[in-house]
Amino acid sequence: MIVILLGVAVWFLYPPKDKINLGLDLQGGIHLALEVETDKAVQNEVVRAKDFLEKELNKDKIKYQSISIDADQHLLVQLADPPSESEVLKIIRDNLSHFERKNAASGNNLLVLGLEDKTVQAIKENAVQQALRTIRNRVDQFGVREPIIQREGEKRIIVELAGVSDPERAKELVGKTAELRFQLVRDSAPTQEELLQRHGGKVPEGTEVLPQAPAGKTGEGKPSRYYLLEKEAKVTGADLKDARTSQDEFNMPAVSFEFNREGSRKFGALTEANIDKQLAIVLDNKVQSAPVIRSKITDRGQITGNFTFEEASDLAIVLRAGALPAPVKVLEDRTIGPSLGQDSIRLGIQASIIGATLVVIFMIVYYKLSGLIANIALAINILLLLGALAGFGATLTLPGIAGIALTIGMAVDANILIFERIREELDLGKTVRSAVENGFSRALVTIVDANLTTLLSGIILFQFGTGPVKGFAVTLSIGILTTLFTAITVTKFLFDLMLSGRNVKTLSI
Amino acid sequence: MQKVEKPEKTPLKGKSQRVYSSYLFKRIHYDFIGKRKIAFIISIVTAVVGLGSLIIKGGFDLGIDFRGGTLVELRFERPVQVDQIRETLRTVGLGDSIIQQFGSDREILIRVERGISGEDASAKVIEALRNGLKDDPFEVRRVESVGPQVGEELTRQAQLALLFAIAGMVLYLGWRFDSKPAISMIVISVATILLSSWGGISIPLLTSVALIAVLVACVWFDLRFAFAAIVALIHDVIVTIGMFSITNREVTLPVVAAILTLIGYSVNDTIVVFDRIRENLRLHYRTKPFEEILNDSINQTLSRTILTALTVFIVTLILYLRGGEVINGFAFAMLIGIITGTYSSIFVASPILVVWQNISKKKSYAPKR
Repeated sequence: MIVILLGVAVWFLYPPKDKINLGLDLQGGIHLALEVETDKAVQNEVVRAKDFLEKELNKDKIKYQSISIDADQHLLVQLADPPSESEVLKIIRDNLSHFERKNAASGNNLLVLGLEDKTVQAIKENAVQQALRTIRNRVDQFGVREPIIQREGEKRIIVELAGVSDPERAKELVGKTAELRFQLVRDSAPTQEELLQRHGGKVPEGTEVLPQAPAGKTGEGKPSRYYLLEKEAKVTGADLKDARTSQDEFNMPAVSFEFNREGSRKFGALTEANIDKQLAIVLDNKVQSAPVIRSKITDRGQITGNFTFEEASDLAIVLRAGALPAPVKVLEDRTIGPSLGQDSIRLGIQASIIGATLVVIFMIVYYKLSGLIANIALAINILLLLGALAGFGATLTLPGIAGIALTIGMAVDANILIFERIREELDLGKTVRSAVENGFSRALVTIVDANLTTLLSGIILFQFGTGPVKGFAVTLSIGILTTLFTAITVTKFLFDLMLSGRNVKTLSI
Repeated sequence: MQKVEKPEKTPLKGKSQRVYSSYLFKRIHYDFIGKRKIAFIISIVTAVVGLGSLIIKGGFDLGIDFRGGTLVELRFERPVQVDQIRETLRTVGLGDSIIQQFGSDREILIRVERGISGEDASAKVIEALRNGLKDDPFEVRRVESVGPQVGEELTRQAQLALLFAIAGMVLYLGWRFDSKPAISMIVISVATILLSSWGGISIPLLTSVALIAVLVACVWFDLRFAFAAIVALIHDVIVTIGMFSITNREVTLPVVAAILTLIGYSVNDTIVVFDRIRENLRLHYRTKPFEEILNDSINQTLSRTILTALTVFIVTLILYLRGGEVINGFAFAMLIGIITGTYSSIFVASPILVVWQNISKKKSYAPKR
């Protein structure tokens, strides 16, 4: 008996108030399931190869009709005449060795090249690993307490950030590809049509048309200008050493960046050779700004353009952490704002307390002193439950609080079963002591039985549930176990205590 | 139909002895079994209404958890009109979203169907409103956005969970009530569980087929208790989902969790009654008619059944009324579940036993173990 009491007492010591892990739906926070678009990473590699091949062939003056990419990410090189084939193959072997020839020589001067399978796998794997690293980096800089960033399966990443006060900003930070490129401007015009018209209706080789980044984060406004840019970006975000917020000449927020040594060299060469030309600063395929190069610049620069302070700050973080190797798609987003989280806690606890109080009152009214015993057992039950939650480091969610409320309701069931049996035994004329004994033993089997089915439900929910539902399964299951325990031991113990020694003639039940 | 008499009075032992059982329940000795025809009618009607609603409305309202889509809950500082919001959203091509007010006139719920906007539409919605309604600041209370893949995954998980829960209950009932002949139940359950991992199979179909197989097995092997309990279980699930369909409520993940819980509760309740029936059968099968034993059993467990249902109901009612919007669907499902779970043990499972007994060739209802 004393052992039991001691055991109970130990549990009492266990849960200090704030030891319970609060779920995202109670703390406020973000849960994101992201998918790294690994196919894009592969695509990018093929596009890079195409651009390289075009340049090389032009440099070596090898004639070709066209180079294109088909739907399976194969490079289709249509040659002008047969002899060039071996030269082209040599270039491939020397520079693009991870490509292999996919078609047999058939005399139609067509070379079909594709990436080796294992290269494709490697690219995809790399993309995911790098995305993980980059996101971790960014989140670290954003400063979130105990973030969870985990890989799930082949290309999914789960990000959970608790207690974030501005969820939209955090999501933007995590998902932004943030690819920075510096490209020379050949021409620009207010509309795409006008721009193309000036160049004979189509995009000249080695260039691309990109719009100006409109104001606003998701960029829904119409671009005010279109730029014809040199495709090749000799300098990119990878060459940055650092980036931080600063102010431009109008005292508006801006981002200043610094190049690393290789970057400085490249940038120096670029600016030196292109004085008085415009250099576009391209972020995620939109032109942020296109200042004119006044002189050779080597080590630093500034990105300006309609930023708020947060936007500038986030951009700096993202540039520092690096670009995502491939875009990430948001598969699932569950964000709870902090105010809702607090409200949920409040409402949940309120409802549980009201419910519990009603049950307590009911038990006393209906079962009198025995009801009081049941209530004490209930209190111990709940304490054990909370203690177990804290002890196992389980997460409490809003449905979890509902689970606690349900446990309160069901815990009473065990006692009701016992008490009703005791009442029956007393009505049959048994003595108080034997009625209590019989009541307990007879009811026991049914109690265990009945709670087992609900426990089974709880376990299945735990196995198949996600987030908040899992929290419910946990509290329900643990609640049932503690209920069984207290019903069997604590209630009996209290009864024995009450009946010990004195010869009780009647039972307040 | 013989009227069941009231129980004998408590024998007095010389001095006046206190009657312990609740006066309330002692007085009530209801002829449940006698009234079973009415019970059948009510049960069938509720089930049919539920099913009917499901068929007419073409299934029930699936939340974005399963269908995919985006949900944005906003709280404005001042009351706003739904039309204002719709107009603003129209400018970004989201004018077809479902916009509702709930709670107060400052709280707005915006639902964007999957397919209206490919990616996560929440950022678009929020920014459009921030720009378009500059004079009406709001806070984002919550965002739930589920892409199609995840929606499919969650749907499958929910279906599997239901399958496993029912299989688990079937296994347990088979073992608990009728042991030896229950091997067939075990076989069916295990087979079903194994089949469920085969990717191409439709889980709801598998569940239905398995249930039918189980019921047939019960009839074949004379597993009356298991049969009755399972039918009661099916009844409860149908009625609960039917209620959701009728009241146009959404079935979300927490609602599925509630359904799984109420499956546990319903079987729980049925077991309590059946335990008492079997106990009484053991004691009285030589002396009392079957129906009387049944009636007595139900009346004996009535106090427990009602009281437990009452306590859980009270707690759940508070959750439903004051628990907030997020948990509302869950609480509603539990409320319905508790009512039908309790109802089904008395008015579905037990009457089935009577009918079974009446139909059964063997007139002896001696307990088997």
